[in-house]
Amino acid sequence: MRGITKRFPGVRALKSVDFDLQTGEVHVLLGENGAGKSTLIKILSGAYQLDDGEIFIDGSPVRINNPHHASALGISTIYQETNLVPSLSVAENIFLGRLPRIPFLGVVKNKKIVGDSKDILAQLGVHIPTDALVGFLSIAQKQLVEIAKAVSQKTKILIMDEPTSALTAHEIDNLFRLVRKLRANGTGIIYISHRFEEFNEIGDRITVMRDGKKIDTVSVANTSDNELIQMMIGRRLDEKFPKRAVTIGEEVLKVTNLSVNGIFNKINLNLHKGEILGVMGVVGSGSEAIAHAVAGGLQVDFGEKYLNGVKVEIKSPQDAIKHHIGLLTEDRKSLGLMLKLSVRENITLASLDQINRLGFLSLAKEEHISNQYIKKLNILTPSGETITENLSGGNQQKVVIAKWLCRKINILLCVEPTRGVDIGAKVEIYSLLNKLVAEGASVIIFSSDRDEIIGMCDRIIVIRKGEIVAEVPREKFSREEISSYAFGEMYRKQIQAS
Amino acid sequence: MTHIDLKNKYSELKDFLGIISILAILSIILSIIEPRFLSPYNLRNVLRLSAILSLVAYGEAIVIIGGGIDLSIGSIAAVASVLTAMVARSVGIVPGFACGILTGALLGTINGVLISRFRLPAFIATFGMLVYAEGIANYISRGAPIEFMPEGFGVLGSGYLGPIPIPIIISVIVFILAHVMLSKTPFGRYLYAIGGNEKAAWLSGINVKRYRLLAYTISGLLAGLAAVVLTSRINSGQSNLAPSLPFDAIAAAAVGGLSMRGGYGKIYQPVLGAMIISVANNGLNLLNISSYIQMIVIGGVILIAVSWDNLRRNESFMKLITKIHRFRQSEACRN
Repeated sequence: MRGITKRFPGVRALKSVDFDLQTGEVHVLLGENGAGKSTLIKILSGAYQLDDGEIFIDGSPVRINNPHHASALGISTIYQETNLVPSLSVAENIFLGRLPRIPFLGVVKNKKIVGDSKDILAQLGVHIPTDALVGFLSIAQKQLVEIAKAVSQKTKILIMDEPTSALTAHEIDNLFRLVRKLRANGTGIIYISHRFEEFNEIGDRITVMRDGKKIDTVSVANTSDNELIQMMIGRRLDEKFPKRAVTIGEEVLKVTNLSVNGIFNKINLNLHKGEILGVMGVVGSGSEAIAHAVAGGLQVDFGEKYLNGVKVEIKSPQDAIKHHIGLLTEDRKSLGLMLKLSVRENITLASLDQINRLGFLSLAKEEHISNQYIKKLNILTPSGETITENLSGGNQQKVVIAKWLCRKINILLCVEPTRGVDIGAKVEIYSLLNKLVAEGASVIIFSSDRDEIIGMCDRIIVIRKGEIVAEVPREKFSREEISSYAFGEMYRKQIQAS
Repeated sequence: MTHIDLKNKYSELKDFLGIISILAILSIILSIIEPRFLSPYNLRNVLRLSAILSLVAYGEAIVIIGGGIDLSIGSIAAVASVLTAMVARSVGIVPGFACGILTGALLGTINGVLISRFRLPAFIATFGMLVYAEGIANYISRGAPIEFMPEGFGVLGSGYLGPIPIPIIISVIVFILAHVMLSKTPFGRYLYAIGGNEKAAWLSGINVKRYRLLAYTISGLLAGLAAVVLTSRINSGQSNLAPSLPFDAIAAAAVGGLSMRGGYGKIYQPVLGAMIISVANNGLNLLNISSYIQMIVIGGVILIAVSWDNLRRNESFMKLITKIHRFRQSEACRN
């Protein structure tokens, strides 16, 4: 790819980027959110059209008009947001668009797709029944199906956009085993990730991007993490987790016996004023569901909630907001934001009744307030009127946080607060959370990122398979121990073996 | 405001001008083909009918912006018409009008409850109401128009306030109210939110149920109002008052540029759409074209309008258009 340029309304996403991929290599694409990595690969996969520049495959110039064309050229992509059809089965999704038919009759060869799907899934070490409906799978499982789909298309160029963000260690190992196999077979793989330990393990070369430009392409072996970080953000990063000491006050929130059949059972936890509580659990352990249940988005079968010692009924997000509880969801695009509305409209969305008197919206007031938050949270946006869709992931997350800050909540429940967010914005979000608790609020972080939990929290609760398996105060934190609680026996054995 | 926001406003202005120019072109062509179009009598007629159509178009637009759809307004209007006539005859004109409007609101609320509380899909619920209400209207009126209205009943629909027909005044008042509501109240903002991303709106604490309900109540109320005006105009209550009303209303909204997906839209869109459709209908009538062909034409107009809306959002199509545009411009420059 040479001189690739791409413009969006108001933002120049890519400025004359050069990139090349060899057969049989894993080429990592690294950069902050908003650096342009996703845009670049979307051009390669046919989802976007480039404005300027050329693409060559095997030496010949090509124009990639749409995703179908891209896959005909041997390019497959696995995005962060899964592109599966929830109402169809796993086998049907793997062969989506290429269902083999019996000639003349036009009937789908069901046995063939089931058989082939079973083979591929076995190769990947994935245990998902081929007749399961994709809509009922977890995010992690959906990603694995996506990978199986790309693999089954015998691609020459495989693009993977943050494929491991929702996978367990075991599944990641499987994935890497497969990636190595593909590499040995000559497939070129473009791998986007924020996780340094991953591409140190599996990458051959790294291209770093920043602000829509390519900074450099280096080999993994010869470059240190610090050098890479410096290329990414243009400055040194001394402290990844800014943590300050805050005096912890009385109990503000307590839940007892919280249970939702089939998801989690008899959860007891309490939160104190000024505290950051961590709930560590891998995807599928039920930790996300607990967050939603506490915040009223999920109906519970049993359990009581207490605020400042007083029993309360929180059965809907409205109740939660009335009690000054806010929920930062794990999926900001579909659950947290109105992508088609402006930044200002999103920030004020939960606070309209408070901002406006006499039942009428005051544009001036809204602008004033939203500009305050844009400045306070350092949200990078051309203006408050910009459509939220056009912002990068990290800044979109900041908009959601601003929405809750605007409502002046006291208890913020964050689920995977920095998923899909670059390092620079991560630090900013962590600082924000610290500031929040310094001002008297309380935070619960539900996450599967153990570095994040350990770095940020005063106390950790570990959830596995819907139950609390450990509660650890800060003095006693140890990475391995916490991970072993979260993953169970298998992981403990793995780290003992390594 | 930065230059990007100006660009957004500019494209909004372009949309507005685009639709107005379609209306203008249509009218000009019609006046040329059939000069009777421009007669004061005809023009007043067209304006009157488009005013009535725009009333229901507002209601439909409000529902669509909130992410739903209302197929029942034709039958709601029928029930309202019949009841208005009956009450006007027996009790009085003003109670009759009030009854019609309230009936609309009540039926709209039933729709709203079915959709928000019982979670019926909007299409099914309003379709059911369509059938149900039509049955009620027919039953009450025994299938016959209700006539012999008291003196003065027709003022609302056929009367004037000075030189302006009353329905137009009503339509303008409703327009202003609707505009204020959509752009200046929290309710309006919440509607856009619910239509744009219902789950996120719910999680942000918006009472989706309540506002959905309200949207359908308003739609029903406006249908009732339109029925009252129309009934007054023809001076009799009819159970088959306007069977194609919901489709005309949806067509008006679509032609005006309202996005059928919800979460988007400005209030002038249904108005202009209503005018375009009324003008088109009127023109076809004047030209004595069979009403079946009229339906074909209207159907074609809807398809074109909605396709244009979709195409505009399609990147590669717009690139093609800009390329052609630029090519033509450079050609012109060279000559």
